[in-house]
Amino acid sequence: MSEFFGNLETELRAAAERRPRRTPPVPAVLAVVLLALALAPVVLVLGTGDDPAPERRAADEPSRAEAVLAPVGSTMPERRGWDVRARPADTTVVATGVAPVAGPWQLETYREPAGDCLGLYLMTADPETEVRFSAICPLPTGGPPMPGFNALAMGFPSIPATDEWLVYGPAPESATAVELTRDGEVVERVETLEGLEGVEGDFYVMYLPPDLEIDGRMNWLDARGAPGDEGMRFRLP
Amino acid sequence: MKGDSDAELLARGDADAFAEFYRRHARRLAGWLMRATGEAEAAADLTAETFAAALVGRKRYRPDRATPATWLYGIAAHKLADWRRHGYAEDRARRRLRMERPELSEEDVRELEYLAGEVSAVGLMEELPPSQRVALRGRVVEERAYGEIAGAEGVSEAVIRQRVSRGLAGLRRRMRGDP
Repeated sequence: MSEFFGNLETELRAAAERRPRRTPPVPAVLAVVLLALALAPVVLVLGTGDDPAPERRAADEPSRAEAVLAPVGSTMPERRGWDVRARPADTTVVATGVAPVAGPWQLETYREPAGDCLGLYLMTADPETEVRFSAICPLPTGGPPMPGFNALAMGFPSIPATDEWLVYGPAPESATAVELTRDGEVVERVETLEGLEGVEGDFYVMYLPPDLEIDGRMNWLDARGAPGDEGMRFRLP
Repeated sequence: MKGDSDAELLARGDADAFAEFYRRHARRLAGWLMRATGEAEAAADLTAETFAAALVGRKRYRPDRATPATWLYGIAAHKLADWRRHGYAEDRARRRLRMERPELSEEDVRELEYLAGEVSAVGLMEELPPSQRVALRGRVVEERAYGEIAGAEGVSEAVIRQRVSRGLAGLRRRMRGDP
């Protein structure tokens, strides 16, 4: 009689009644993620280990989460290092919000030799174990297929403890919403974020679940709710 | 508890509920992994690691996004991809839970080999996203017309054709053991 399945069930039962050990830092994996995210406007929020971590930041104390956010328009000074205050240059906060899992975030613009950049910072991420920063740098400066709009997806299928995807990017000033569709059906739609007063261009941040299988299209909508363009292909693994 | 759905078992989160969830899926998942790897030790490692990861992440499961089976096989697919990339099965979730992977006896190996042969397309269909599963079952198993399925689902015929196509592609990937 085979015993493997029964023994494994016993192990799982015992484990279910134990408190899980906190995940140790994974610098090698983190480095890969950070490198890749420098090119892609998608943040993959990694699990930290202790239940109920995925819901804790946004759901527990939203007002406290918002308290760590800087006002839109404020400057975040350049700072070297790896903590949540580190910045590659002086940045300007253009939008803020609180994601269901990742918690409070800030969208910030800054300038590098390559051009203008847009960064997304997770303000309460654990720099030891979680991705805390992603950037689109430089921002696209026009041209087909959709000037002023960008939505790419990077996947990290080797990281199983993903909790959430944050997809973000710039959108045209005339956009009122950004929409993700699959087979013509709306998967997610978010209103655009106005950004700085008097400065051309909007932004968007979309939250997607980690297990969403999608090969769809991302597009912006105009004031009438009509598609702004033909959209861009969007894939998650 | 036996009457509870998989989603209800995951939502309960206690040891008994998870054990029931495990019993429902363990053998078929192990067979799929055995078929994909061709190695009993690897299949056992990946099965244990997949359920350990599912145990750790069960509170993150969202029933509005995927069936529990889809979610579970998604975890397994990640583990399998890692195994292919690195040549060994990671043990991150098991280490977090301080779990040991049970040793395999010769009888266990034979059972895994038997289970690998039991993996069927119809069974794997259950791991597809719901929209693809409905379309594929309607067209391939029940041999209904595309238009009829489209009417029942409230979408266009083209959408159903696309779902069937993607469902078949998904089945092919799963039969190969690809993510």
